[in-house]
Amino acid sequence: MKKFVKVVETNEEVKVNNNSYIPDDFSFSILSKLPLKSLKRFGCVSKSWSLLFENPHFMNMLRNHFLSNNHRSNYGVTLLLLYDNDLPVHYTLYLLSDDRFENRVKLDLPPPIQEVVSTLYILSSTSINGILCLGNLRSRGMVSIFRAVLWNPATAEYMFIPPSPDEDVPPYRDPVCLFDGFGYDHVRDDYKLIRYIIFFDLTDDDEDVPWEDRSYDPLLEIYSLRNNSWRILDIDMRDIAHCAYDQPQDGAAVYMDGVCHWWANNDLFNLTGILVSYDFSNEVLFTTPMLLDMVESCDFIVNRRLVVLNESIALISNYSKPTTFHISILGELGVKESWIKLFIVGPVPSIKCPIGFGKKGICFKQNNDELVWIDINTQIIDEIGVRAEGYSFPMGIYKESLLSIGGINN
Amino acid sequence: MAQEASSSTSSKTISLKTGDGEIFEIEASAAKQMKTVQRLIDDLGDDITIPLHNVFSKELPKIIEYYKKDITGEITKDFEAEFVKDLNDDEVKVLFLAANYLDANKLFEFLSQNIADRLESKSVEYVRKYFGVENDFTPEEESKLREERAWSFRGIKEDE
Repeated sequence: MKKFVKVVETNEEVKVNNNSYIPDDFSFSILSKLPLKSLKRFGCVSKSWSLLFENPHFMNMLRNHFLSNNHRSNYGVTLLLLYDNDLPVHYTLYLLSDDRFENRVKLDLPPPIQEVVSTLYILSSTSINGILCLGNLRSRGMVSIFRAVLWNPATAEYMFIPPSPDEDVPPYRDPVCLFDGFGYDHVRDDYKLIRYIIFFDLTDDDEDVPWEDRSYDPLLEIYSLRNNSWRILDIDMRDIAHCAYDQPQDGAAVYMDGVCHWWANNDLFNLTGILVSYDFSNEVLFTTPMLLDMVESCDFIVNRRLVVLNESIALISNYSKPTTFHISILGELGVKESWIKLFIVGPVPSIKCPIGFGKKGICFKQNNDELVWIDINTQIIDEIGVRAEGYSFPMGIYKESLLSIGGINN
Repeated sequence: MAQEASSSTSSKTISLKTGDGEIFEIEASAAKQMKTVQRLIDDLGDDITIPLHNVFSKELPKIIEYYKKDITGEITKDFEAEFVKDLNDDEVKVLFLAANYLDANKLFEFLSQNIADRLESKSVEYVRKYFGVENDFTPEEESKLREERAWSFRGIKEDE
């Protein structure tokens, strides 16, 4: 912080008054705390302000603010779900109140979940009013069966969600979930799950169900805790049915302010994409096509993933050759010109994928499954000493509350 | 100022004199949080009234109030909200500049955030005036930029 010192030689009043000019150095302290939309608008203040995003000193302050603000205490603590094939209980769930993994606290999963050896994940990677939704995929013959449980870790109360009557039914088709999410409808004070299922034909011989009675139509369904039931949503999914999605168990869904978002890749090269969003209160699914800049120096895009960072939607683009990660923030939902590149990590050949954000850096999983922190200022890689096998579960957010699940579902 | 035998810092008070000649007392532990003050104490000694040419009697008591709360460890979100509640944008700016002059980091960061929150939905012209920045665009350049960034003007009243 630079000092602003005016040497007073006489008794003359030197007032730091209302019209005083604020030098750049400490105006950056204010500007780096503004939302991206405001920063873009204030680019019209003067020429130097229009070049803020090209000013390395300012961008450093902006990046640091984004990370440190992301961890204000009212957001909750970090959740980390780890899988280890060698342990009798394969899954361990930890709370991390700071970036120091040595201080992690283990959370006991609900007893029926502790025995789970198949795929387990946290829907939307976040608690909502203290409630987490855990998803589990078990194999039954050739088919993957989904079940979910709502859980409040603070009270240890849990409740299995009844299976969807439309998803799990016939033997002739294999349901595959393209995306799912856990969210909150603040109009009805209701907790909901959304799932988008496509079906594959399983049988090629005669089955009990004749052809004319079979349906392979994709299914968009909602579960309501208040009603304790599923219902099918009548929404035209044509625009996004053909897109490629990250698997739900990789933490593809993000939830923010009553809306779940997913990234749909609609071209082979991952250059364009569609942001798919579901608003639980207005019961509307909307899509925003996105065109992003190709980065010349990098060969091709391996993957794109959404995360929530500092109350904004962020997109992590994983480039290969060289392995770099570009993180862009969406300045305004629905505005495709409002993506702003904020972080570039790399080249880092040993890194596989991002896991989460800390106060000063980003947590990644290496190719050998070891977790590391990369400091955003120095790009120094710091090994944590923790392994994360299996799927690349992103870090989640948990904020404790004593809300009763049974109290909502009467 | 009575001469005190060297005692524990917690009970010692420091005298500060503002640019307009008023004197205020703060505890030595609070003075430590204001690096400029602490540097002056280190140079001039803690028995002398420390002169602060660029801070005035209007804002210094408010700053002292903040650090008094800070040394008891009681600064909460509620306290901070209350602290700035009745201040207008210009009054906060004066405090902000004073906090910078005093090198009082915690207050400086808090006020930075508060000013950012206040400016978030303001117009370009308001921000120019607030920061004392001159518009060096030609009218054509400015309207071109506004068009490029049109999305960032949505929902903003440009005359505020």
